[in-house]
Amino acid sequence: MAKDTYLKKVLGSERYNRIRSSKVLMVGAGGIGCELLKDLVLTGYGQIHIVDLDTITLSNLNRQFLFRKTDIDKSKSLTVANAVQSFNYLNSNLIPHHGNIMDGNQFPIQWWSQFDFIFNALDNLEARRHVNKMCLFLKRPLMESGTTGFEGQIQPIFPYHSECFDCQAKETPKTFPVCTIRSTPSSPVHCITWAKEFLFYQLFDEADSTELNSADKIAGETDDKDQQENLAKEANELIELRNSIISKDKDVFFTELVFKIFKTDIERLLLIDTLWKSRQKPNPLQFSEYESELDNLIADDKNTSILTDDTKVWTILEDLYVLRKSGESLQKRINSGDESSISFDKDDEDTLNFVVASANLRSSIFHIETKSKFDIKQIAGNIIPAIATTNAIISGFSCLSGSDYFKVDAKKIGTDFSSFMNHSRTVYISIRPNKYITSALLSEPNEKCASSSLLSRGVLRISKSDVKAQTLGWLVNTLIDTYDYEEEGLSISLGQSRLIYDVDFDDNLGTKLIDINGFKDGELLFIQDDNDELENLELYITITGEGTLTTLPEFKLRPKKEFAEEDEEDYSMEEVDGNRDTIIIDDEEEKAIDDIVIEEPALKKRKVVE
Amino acid sequence: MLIDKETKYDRQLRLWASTGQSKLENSHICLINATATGCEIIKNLVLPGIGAFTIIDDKKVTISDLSGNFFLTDSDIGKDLATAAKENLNEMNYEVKGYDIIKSIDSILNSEEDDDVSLWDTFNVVIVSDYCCQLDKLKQLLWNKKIPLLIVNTIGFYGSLNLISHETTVIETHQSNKLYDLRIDKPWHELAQLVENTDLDSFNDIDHAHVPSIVIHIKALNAWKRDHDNKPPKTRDERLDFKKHYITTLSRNINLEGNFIEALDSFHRALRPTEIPYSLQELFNNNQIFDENLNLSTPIFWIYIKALKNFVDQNDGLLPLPGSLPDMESDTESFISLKSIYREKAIQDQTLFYEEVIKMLRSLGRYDDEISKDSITTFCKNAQSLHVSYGSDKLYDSSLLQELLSPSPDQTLVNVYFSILAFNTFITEFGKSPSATNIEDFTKIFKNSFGIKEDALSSSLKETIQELLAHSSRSYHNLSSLMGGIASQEVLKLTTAQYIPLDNVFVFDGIHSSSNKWKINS
Repeated sequence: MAKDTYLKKVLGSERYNRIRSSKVLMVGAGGIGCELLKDLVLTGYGQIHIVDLDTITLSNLNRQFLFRKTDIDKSKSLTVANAVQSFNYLNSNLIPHHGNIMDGNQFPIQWWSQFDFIFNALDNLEARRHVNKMCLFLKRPLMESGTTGFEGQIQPIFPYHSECFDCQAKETPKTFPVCTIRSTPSSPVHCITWAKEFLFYQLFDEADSTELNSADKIAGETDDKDQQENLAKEANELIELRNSIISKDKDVFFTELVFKIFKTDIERLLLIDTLWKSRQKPNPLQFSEYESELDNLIADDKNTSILTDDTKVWTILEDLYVLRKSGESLQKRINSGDESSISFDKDDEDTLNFVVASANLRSSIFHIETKSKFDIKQIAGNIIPAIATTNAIISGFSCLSGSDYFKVDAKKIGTDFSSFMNHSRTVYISIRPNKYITSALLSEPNEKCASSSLLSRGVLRISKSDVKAQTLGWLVNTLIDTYDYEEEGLSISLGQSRLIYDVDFDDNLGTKLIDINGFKDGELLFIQDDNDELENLELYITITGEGTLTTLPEFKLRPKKEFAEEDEEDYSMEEVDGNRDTIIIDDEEEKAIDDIVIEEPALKKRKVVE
Repeated sequence: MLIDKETKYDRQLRLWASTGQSKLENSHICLINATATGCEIIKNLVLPGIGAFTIIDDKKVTISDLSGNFFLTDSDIGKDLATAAKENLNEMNYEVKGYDIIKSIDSILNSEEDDDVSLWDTFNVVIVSDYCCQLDKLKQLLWNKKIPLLIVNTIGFYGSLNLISHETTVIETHQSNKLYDLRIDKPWHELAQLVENTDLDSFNDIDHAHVPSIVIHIKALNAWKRDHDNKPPKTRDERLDFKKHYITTLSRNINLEGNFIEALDSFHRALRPTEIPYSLQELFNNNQIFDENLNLSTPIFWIYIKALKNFVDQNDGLLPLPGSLPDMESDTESFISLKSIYREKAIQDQTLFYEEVIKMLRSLGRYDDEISKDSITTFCKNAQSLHVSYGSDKLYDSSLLQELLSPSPDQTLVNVYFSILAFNTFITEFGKSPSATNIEDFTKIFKNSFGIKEDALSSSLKETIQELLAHSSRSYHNLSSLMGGIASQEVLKLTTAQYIPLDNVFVFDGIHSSSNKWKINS
């Protein structure tokens, strides 16, 4: 019996044949990716491209079953493709790419256009947004998926027919004011952020300054001159300290570090009275109280076991010991010449130890609870719990739901995906017995979503000859002619919202396109109607060969939709917490009551990771 | 734990901690039939480091096994299926011990050799994937031994999962609806003292704006009760009155003092009576903790329940205090002193409870080392959200049958479930899987099995049966992978003894991407 007899029977031979002759892309070869690739291969997809930029680490092995210990540090995409090969019964053509999916040079839009269907198996918002956008440009169906611990979901995305990834606001990582982090921390996460993103970064990472040292940002937060000066001074001294890593002996470096960071800086903060009017004052570290005990600890090699006691909350003395030990090794690494700088990595023990110890020392100075290395690792490393079972279930749903697309003939429906709206579903799974598996029909695009509704988009194919010979003025006129803007009635931004033309800024009109900074393959042009009558337009620049024909996407811009100002709020992801008088809703921990009293549509609140 | 291992399992330790991990590592599971689904289940358990697995199968690997099973390769053809699968699965994690038994279930169940008879006692969970001859006998055997049995079926796009377990008790349920037990209406001496000693009027504005909201709640509630015959606010009007005239008025400026704003926002904390949850009261009446039923083999869970009942009886009807506090607007100093009052009381209660448990154990002639201080702490913290459920050794009951017989618009999933059961019965009778050509025989078996008298089956049932027989393949990998994921998740719950397991049937329809759960009663 042929190996695909069963599949033909189950999927139906028409669908199976379409799957056999399709080209699909899988983005991400991690927790979901390993599972999904297995499912795709055993479903018989003709050609599967796999993209991942990551390499394999030990903590992947509890779920990413295509990897072995001997694979650590190898490329994920190349390794999965190899691992699957021996089980590739239906001879799917596997094409791995080691690279960043957001890299427009490696993955230009022409490359994307070869795929019939795209499966996301990603772990971060930025890349998900990028893939979503590419699928919107090309009107390709996308299967989005994510898991966190025991929870997970899939969301089929049919561009401009169903909600896209951006249609629902996502939880974004919290950011804190610079002053809170640098001067007045009040919770462990403040101290951890300070240790990782300020202290560690300024001492060991690339010499560029961090956000946490931006004079502009600080000036935006406080008018207090004393505080501004103090923050600048503190940072300058840190640069001197950075030099001590190379020039000074390990004892001297450590002592300078401890005195400056945990004593001098704090004492200086204490001088700014305004900070402490309504706050408890910090207590500078009295290093002398610990010095001799610390020497004893260091003298005995057995004490290195402290470094690996992950679940214990260290004492101040132990924190000092860990700081000393990790600082010493980092110093050694820099001085050996192998690494000119070191970036924080939760899996790099030295960097983690340094951050844990310094965060805890700062916490104790500011009377904040200190935490174990295990807990700090989770916060500093943005660690999301993950297990094989959830990934298997979600990948199963992703593959199953994805195969639905091939029930129909893509040539016939083109980009009219309306038929999928009746049966394609988002699926959500959880550990809660009453929310075991829930699903919902797809929603229409959110009409306020900037990605799917407020604009038209398409590909601007421009020949190399035109880029060289023509000016921005020519492009403006071409746009006016094609899309019926009023004379001088539009503005153009390039890339990340950099204005290159509007009626009051016509300096570039005579500039050749080739000389406009950033006008290159893979960049986005964003065109707005100054009269606010036509919807916004987004064009993806693709530069084609010399002498080819320059073409703009052919469509008529629709009238712009108006939204009342106050409506904006509906779109933000408000927690359902009204009716405080009648319904008891409490903190995070107690929120599950909403199961009983608040019927939330499935999938409204979504956390999407891995 | 070794560092290497801790790093490898880091992402899951954040879910079930080292207690769950060590339980998992001490578990041995058994898989009957090395099917694609079965191998997926084992894969998902080998990865997180289950202690050991045993595969029982007496078949040889054929080419048709390969199409849906990732854990068999061309070079395995002709080998013993159990051995080949075991070896390929074990490769993912050598900290797990893999065993194979090349015997039929028949021969093991009918054997009187010691090894075969005692075999089952080594397993914490047994999994049957797809068809198993003598399923009833096996089911009964495991039911009597109180070993949980999972039965997983996949046919085409359909799947079902039964969890057959006598009694399931869970301490660490991870129920997120846990309410803070703050005792605002019943402050113990030290807490009452602290509130008493907090003289709001004597504070400067800064300190006044940092009094923890719990203290404000206790003060407000005391004042209310003094004015109202010692009764708490009940009606909506009373609650509004409480907020307006008992909380707000304590503040110097309700628009500026964050702690008072918080006290208003969380005023329901002040009004929640401290009481024993109904589910727990029920456990106190469970006959397993009647004195005459307690003995050497009473599960430790029920010893805890009995001890907890005694504790409550001796402590004014109160549970041991969990001791955890929500975050609060406050200065560190007052928060820490409040926190330590809660913590000390919690520790005090835990010690009393610990002594009660020890007393119970000794009175039954058992040993102290059955429990640890840590397990006592865990139990006390979770006392409000314990889970107990009772399973059934049946595959369906009269109410589910009723659902099958009284057609409703939304009954595909019931149809699917009974069709899967009939599918296995067909194999028993005919020695092979039914296909589209066997529809008559299949219908006959279906009617006989479930005592259906009517001549014609409902049209929706007919449709489901046709679909099932058309796709009769059991090795559609996608479904195997999905059902394997779901089944292994249940095994994780059972082996880590955390989270609430399925209770007790789950059915999946991949054609319509829908699913349902039922509870079969004994």
